[in-house]
Amino acid sequence: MTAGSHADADYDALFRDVYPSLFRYLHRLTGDTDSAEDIAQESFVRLLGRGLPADEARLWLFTVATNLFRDSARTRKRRERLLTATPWKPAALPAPNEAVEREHTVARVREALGKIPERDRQMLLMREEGFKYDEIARVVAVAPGSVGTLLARATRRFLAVYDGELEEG
Amino acid sequence: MTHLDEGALQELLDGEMPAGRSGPAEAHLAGCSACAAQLSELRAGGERMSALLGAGDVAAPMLRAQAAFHRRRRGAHPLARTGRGLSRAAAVMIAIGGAAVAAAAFPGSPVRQWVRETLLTEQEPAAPAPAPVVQAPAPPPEAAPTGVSILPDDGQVRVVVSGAGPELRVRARLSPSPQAAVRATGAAAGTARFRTAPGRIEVLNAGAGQVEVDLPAGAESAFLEVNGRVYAAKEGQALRALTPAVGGTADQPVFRAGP
Repeated sequence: MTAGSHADADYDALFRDVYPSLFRYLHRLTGDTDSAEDIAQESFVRLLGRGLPADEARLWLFTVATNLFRDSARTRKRRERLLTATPWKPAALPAPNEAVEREHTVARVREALGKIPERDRQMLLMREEGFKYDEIARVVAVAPGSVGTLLARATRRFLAVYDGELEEG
Repeated sequence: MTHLDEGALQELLDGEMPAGRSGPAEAHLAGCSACAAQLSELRAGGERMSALLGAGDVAAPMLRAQAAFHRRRRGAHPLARTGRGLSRAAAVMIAIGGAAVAAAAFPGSPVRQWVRETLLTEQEPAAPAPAPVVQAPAPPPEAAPTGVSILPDDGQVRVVVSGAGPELRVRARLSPSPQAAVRATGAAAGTARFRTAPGRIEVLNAGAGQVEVDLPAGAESAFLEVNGRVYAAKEGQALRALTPAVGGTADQPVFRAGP
């Protein structure tokens, strides 16, 4: 096996291992399948040639993807449009249909995610993807010892906004 | 011991509390209803949030994304840039060579003299250059073991390993400790994530490496479940393997976490 084909095999394995998680993270972050797909793809392309070990590559990919999401004005506008397109109105609950209820829940989740602080959102979504406290701390630039407290508060804030008990943003 | 703060409780839930602190913290929890209630509240909030976030998940477009990545990789392959660079270098070398040959054709030319003295004179072949000493890359530092432990809930305890790859090894044994404990070692220490619920430890995202599971011998019932199948269960005062072990001993079987 040549060095080149070995690197190709490594990229293939990394892609298979990380892409589903990165896509899910970005889909939750953007609320949009196309944006998630585009940013995930661009993140992997930027990884090419860097020669990072697999364990570092995963965190690197999520960091780059988050920065791409943050820096993309077009994506941000699309996200805001999606987040505000279906505001939750308790008085206008749809008929008890499972699919409709699911869509309603998804819209409320996106709305709540859009209203909590960016750091909270990022920490919650990274924790959901299995990142450890020290990795989360590196990406959001907080002390590792504070991650537990910040995650507990972020969870409470998200649920309060979701339940309509707290207005953020 | 003073009450556990919210951050400490969250660390316990996420399996992030260092081993030296988790023992005293869990001992405090066992006797403090206020902290236990707060832990339950945090756990319920986390589980509700996870369920809500997952409500809108869609399947990742793996095939399309892989094909696109292959195309982008071919486009960004450094060979393409090297090829263009070589073409330019070859053109320059051909031009220089051509000029040298032309100059050497003239009698008395300094180029002709240099060619005669250096290229047409037999010389002792130079000794081959010694092979460069290649330093073996240092092995990556192995992550410190990580883990979590809980007390059984109403005498019941279950350890659930989910999404484990076939390269993961899971060692199970009965322990005299009143707590169920899970420890990820090797590569799994860097990837595994833990979640706890009453009488339940979940191990997520463990890649390669090993997960060591201690089930309390004093529990009424204790199970080890891997990828949806029960691999081992406490039966009387012994551990019974319910799937063939790939190593270990009868009382400490090691399983392969295959699908």
